[in-house]
Amino acid sequence: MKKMRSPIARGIVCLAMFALVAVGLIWSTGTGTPSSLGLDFIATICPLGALESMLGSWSFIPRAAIVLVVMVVGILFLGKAFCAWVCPIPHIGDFFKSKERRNAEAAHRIGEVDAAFERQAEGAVPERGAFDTRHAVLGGALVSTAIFGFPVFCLVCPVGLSFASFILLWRFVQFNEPTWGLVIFPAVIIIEAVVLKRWCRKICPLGAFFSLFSRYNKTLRPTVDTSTCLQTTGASACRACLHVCPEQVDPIRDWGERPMSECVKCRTCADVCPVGAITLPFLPGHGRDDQEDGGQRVGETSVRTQDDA
Amino acid sequence: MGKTASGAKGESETPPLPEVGPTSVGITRRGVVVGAASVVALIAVGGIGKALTGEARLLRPPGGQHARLFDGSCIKCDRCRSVCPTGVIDVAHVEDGLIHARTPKMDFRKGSCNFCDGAFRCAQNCPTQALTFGFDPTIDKLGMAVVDSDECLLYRSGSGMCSKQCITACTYGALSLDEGGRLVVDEDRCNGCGACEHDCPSSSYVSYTGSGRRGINIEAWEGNAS
Repeated sequence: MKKMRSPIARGIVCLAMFALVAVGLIWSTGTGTPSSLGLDFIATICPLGALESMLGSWSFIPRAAIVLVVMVVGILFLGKAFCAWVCPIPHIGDFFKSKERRNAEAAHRIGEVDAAFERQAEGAVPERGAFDTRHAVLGGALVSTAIFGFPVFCLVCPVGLSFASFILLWRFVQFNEPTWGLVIFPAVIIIEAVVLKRWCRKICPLGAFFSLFSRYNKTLRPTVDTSTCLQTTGASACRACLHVCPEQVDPIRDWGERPMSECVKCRTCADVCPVGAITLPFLPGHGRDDQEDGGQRVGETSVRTQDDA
Repeated sequence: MGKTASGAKGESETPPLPEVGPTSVGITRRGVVVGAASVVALIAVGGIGKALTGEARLLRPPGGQHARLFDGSCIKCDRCRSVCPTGVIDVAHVEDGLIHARTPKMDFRKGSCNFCDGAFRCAQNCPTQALTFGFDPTIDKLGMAVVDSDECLLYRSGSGMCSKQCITACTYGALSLDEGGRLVVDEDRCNGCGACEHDCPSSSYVSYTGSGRRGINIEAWEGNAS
């Protein structure tokens, strides 16, 4: 089995975001936070924030609109990668979970995955809606923003509040500037990331926005080399990748509880595959490189996901 | 939804697996209820946020004087505050009003605004144009300088006691002494840049009243749109 490097890489990328915010705090670079990161006119923007800023002010904001389009193009290429690589909420949620809780959750997930797999092997169709409660939250946030005239979701956004807490803590040390925000912001984050256990899956409107466009994402998708995969070759009933996927996606046949569009590119499936059959190639249809494993890649027999049909 | 065999090659112990066709939209009754509850919850968050925020007007960086447009479009990204070369842009806290928390506000104890000599780095970095270009320091106003006669040394002890740093600091010629030696503000010339408040020695050296105010303070200007 390959070493589990991805969790460390993901942690480093997430921490790098905080380091970038610290750079802005120290050297007045204006780099900002993930709400908007950049220098002067060249910057990213939170797509939900961009929408809210236009609805909240009841005006068309060219700058926000242009960057929003760029962000959507980014989602088409990266899917929901933000969720696994940048967002601090999964890390915060994990931090507050005991080892027993984590094991119990993993066992429960494996049970669910196996049950669903058996059902589908008998021909059942997974019940997967195109929209879920996250999309209702997204809609509610936008309507509320338009009614009350300020970006409503930003007020409770756990991502924004994480970086805001970091800035407040920094300023508390720098200027000895106490504020109730130092208590309120972390409390909101704890409620969302720890108490509301299913925040990412059931509530997060940012994830909902990503999912609207990740449906069309074909790049960097987990791709299974069916000539080496233990399950597709019939060597065993291996479901290691299905068992570990935090989003309950099925990398082999896209039979999971949730569709491939929910893949957050965390690479856990690729890490755990006992024969290294899973890669996340940039171009669709380019599985494991021939030179790398000396194996034969049979493109035609790769299992098609439902979106390809 | 056809039960065609998958493309797996070779015979396997597991039965041939059917391909999954497009699934239904799958909105259940429970989904509708939860969805409606979510929308109501978000509207409640907006209403509570608005209700718990008083009418207090904050002093915004240049270009953020139209309160409705600013409140509507600031996404609290912290870039204007971070980039400000004089450090005058501070961050508002929940104490300034719930929905104003994390937004930029001017703190003339930390610095004063020189409008970056026309470059407006804050507006340049604002991704949502909550801070707009076009602030004219000869016409527009961040706020208005108001003399606090309880704190101003020129009122309390006479002109001999103060070296009048505020008048020296004001590059717009808005401050002067009247015939009685008391500080007066020319409201047409003052644009609220805060140089006077920043340089005022009152309450930094001789704070007897403990009011926390200086002899001259920038306050919200009613001429700015709400």
